[in-house]
Amino acid sequence: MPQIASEAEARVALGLTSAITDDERAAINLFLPAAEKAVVDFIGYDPVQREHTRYFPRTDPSGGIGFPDSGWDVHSSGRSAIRYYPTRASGMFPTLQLDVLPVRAVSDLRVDYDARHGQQTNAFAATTKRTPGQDYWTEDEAPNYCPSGCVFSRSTWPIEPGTVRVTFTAGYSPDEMNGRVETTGVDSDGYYNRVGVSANPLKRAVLLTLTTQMQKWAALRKSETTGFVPGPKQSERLGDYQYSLGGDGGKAIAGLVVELPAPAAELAEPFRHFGLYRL
Amino acid sequence: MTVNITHYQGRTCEYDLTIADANGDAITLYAGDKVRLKIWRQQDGKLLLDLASGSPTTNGSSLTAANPTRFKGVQNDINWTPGIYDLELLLVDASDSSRVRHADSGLFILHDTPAGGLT
Repeated sequence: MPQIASEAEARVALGLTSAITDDERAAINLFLPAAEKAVVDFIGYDPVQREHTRYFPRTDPSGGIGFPDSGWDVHSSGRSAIRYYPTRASGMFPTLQLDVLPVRAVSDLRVDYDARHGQQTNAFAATTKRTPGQDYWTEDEAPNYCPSGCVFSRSTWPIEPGTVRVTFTAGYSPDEMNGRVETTGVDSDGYYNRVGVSANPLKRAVLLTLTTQMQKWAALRKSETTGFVPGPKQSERLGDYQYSLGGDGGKAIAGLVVELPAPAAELAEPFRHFGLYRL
Repeated sequence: MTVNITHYQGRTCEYDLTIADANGDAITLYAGDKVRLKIWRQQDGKLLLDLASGSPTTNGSSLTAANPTRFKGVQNDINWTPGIYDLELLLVDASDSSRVRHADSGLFILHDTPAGGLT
């Protein structure tokens, strides 16, 4: 689903612009989605701008199933995370942090205390719709740019899981992903753009991860003239003792598991979602 | 095979693109065959330019039904954000119920220009 980088960009990053073999093209198609997934897993969300619908809270912060002890919140200084405990009153959650960043617009927000994650009959009916600016508002740093993903409530958010439904647009536009935004606003394709916002490090992280993986692949791939280039053993037998490698273990040893290299992690680090406020 | 085009944002230019067979020899187009060119942004699948020979855009971008085909990219049609896009060259085979055949693919590299616009 994510499309942080394209095959064309991968070809440029790999120096395969003037000529490319079918094998190389197939390898790019195999590893590019895996490289994107590695970056998405690292930062904790899909950074490509699109609309999402989510149910909140995810778990019961008062101590329900899946959240037996406590949760995390941010100290009022903004400098440290603190634990809170099940005894905390339900009326102390004015902040809902959406799980995809940055939030560009909330198109619909409803609160229905008996919604049961939207599966109750007539859940989130029209009467449960909340009014933006009055009932809730996003922590925008600039119009249509909320990097914290926090949505504040005039009162409090419920603590019962699945009682808040939010439909929102979040993520970076293609121009922001390229670091080439020239005009702030909504472009002709409906993307929110902001001059000065660049998610280009994420694209570089994907391409760096892909390049590393392609180098491993090139080093271990089959040689047309001499059979397989020497690589790790796949199986061995000595009398009754034998072993064979396969599945994820074999892939890991053969270097075919796509991992985020340290420089790519450094590039993606500023985009991580730590979820300190997330309900 | 690969076909790459380097273009400049908001500028007009012509390119000759050859459709070759597996041996690298130019194929022959027959009556009714059409050539198509698609340039797209893979990130969201947006088709930026979709041209067929004999059907120029309103701005005048066109393809000729020949091999090599002449692609004329007109400034008003190619005024996207500079970047690297994917392109596909296709053949619409009149002798095979106008089925669409992949002919080649490559990169459409769009460079920035001083004014960044159409002038």
